[in-house]
Amino acid sequence: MTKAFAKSSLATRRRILKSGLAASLLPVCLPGLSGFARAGTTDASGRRFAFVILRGAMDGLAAVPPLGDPAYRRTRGILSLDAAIAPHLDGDFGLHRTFAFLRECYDADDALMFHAIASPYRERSHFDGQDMLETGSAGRPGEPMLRDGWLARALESADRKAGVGPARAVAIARTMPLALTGSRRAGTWSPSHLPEPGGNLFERLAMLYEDDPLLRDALDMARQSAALTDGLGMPGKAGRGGQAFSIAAKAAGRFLSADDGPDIAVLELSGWDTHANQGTAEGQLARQFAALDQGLKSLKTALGPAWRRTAILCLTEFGRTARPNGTGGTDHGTASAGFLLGGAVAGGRIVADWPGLSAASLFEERDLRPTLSTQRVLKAVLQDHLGLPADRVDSAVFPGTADRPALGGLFRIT
Amino acid sequence: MTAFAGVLTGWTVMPRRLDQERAGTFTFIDRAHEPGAQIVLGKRYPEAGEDQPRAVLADLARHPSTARHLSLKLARHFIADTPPASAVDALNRVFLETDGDLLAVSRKLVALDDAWRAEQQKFKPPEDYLVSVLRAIPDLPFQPRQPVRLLTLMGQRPYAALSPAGWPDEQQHWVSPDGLMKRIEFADLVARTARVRDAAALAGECLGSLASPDLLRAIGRAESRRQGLALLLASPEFMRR
Repeated sequence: MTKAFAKSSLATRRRILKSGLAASLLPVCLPGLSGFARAGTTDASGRRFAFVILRGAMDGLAAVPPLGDPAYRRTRGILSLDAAIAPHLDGDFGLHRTFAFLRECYDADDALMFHAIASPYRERSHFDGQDMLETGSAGRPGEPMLRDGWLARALESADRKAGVGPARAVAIARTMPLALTGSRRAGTWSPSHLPEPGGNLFERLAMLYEDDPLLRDALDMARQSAALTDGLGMPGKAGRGGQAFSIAAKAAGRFLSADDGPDIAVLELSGWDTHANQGTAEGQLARQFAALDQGLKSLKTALGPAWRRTAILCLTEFGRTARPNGTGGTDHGTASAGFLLGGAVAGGRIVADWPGLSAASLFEERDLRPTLSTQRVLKAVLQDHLGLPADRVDSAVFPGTADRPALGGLFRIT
Repeated sequence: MTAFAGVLTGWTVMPRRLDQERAGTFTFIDRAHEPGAQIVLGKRYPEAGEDQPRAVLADLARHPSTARHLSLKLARHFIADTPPASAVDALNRVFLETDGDLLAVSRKLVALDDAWRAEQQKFKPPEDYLVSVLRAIPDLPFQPRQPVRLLTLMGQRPYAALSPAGWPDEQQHWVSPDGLMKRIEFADLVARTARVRDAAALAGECLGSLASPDLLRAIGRAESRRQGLALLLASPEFMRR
């Protein structure tokens, strides 16, 4: 990463910022630190990981506004926030005040924020963007998109007997998200409003499924899930989005904190596609931030002592336009912000090679320019947190991305 | 893609202000059509009003890639997730020979031995499953909108496929722990409300020789009528086709 800094274009862009913005971001990516964390010294046993997919394209410039960027106010116009709405994280960036829990984690060095981060996807379709994020495709021109999920490939390339890498995963969803599609070691769970079947129906069905491995394994997983999520109800109609996500997060926490539970949970939160009236201090987007924040807090509570061993990664398929549109919203953009939190995270910082918001620095003259690939973060999660050997990550999980090495130093060394 | 989008302009839903009577119907409005020739897949289509999009669609419909794509989809849906190549080829041939006559292709499909194999090769998606349950128990007392709620719970909310490509057709997508759990809960709910006296007889009616001895034995030994019916509806035989 430091090498990339030396390239003139970035250096020029960074010089545009008069404040200490660039300087304060530099120490984050020390190469020595990354080498150390990847040398296999990390004890990955018992590590847990939650991947939160923010569907619909979160406006990273509203979540983590670059208050210190001289072009910020001019570019954001009516959507500009001030330090009262987004208190400073450091001299350069603020965090929207609805993220009360995330702020707490940041202050306790348990959370870090990525900025100007994007998957290799450079078009503007939600579907393809989410597919790119979830498959972990290299996104080279002319190369077809991978068909299975990056976490599914991680599960398949782990060595369970040797205790290397993640063993099992659960998606808190009705249908399997693409990120976990392609591995039999991944299951699904979602809340239900139907009454629990009485008697010994499950035992008797298990006998009927004995010769049908597909159904037998699915029923096994479903019954374990039922035991772990006992008492988690359906969200009421009134508080659908936020409440549903909190219940999902609670369930994820129960799964991940169980002794014989899965290592990985995948969660989804939709509703980020704010084309109109997204609001500033309050409004549509602020409510969405609150739902995410509340869910993350529920997740921590449900994890209990397992929080210490956990990392939670929140990413979105792409960002939104830097400037507001004509209807008080923002349209599909490119780079956005992301969050990494949990007791296993070396937090309390912002990880970004800030490209700046001046007209000349914008990508295609309209979006925040991506300077960090999501793949480098996903790789770091697998190698430095879940203990999957680097060569396997490069060959089996993210083929063709050797030029995007895992971002070092994201996790506490235990 | 951009040229094709231009080709399609003009086709719309008739607005009320233009024509009260035909409002809401499919129509072509000439002055909303992008004028000029367009090049789609290397072929030039001159300006011809509504005949331009019609010509492009006709060529796309008889394109060899369309033939292959639809033949595979039909075979996958009606034969097996991984259908025999010979079956796909046979459909593909008829499609090309008849210039994309779907009736002829469908006739060929029905005539294929592969389509008549007794062994169950497909796992029913929630919609198919719900229809199967209603065919087995036609007088099931449903509340209005309950079918939609049930399908949503089982992961297939009507008209809400996750992407423009539509619902997947392979079992790996539908046999998930959560999907199975919801299906069992639904089966149990149906068993609780349906007035079915003899689940074993119903198994014979809707499954015939596909009902395994294990299933019939399990129904016979069930602790209640309700459990017997739930076992039938959640059995591998009933959930597959």
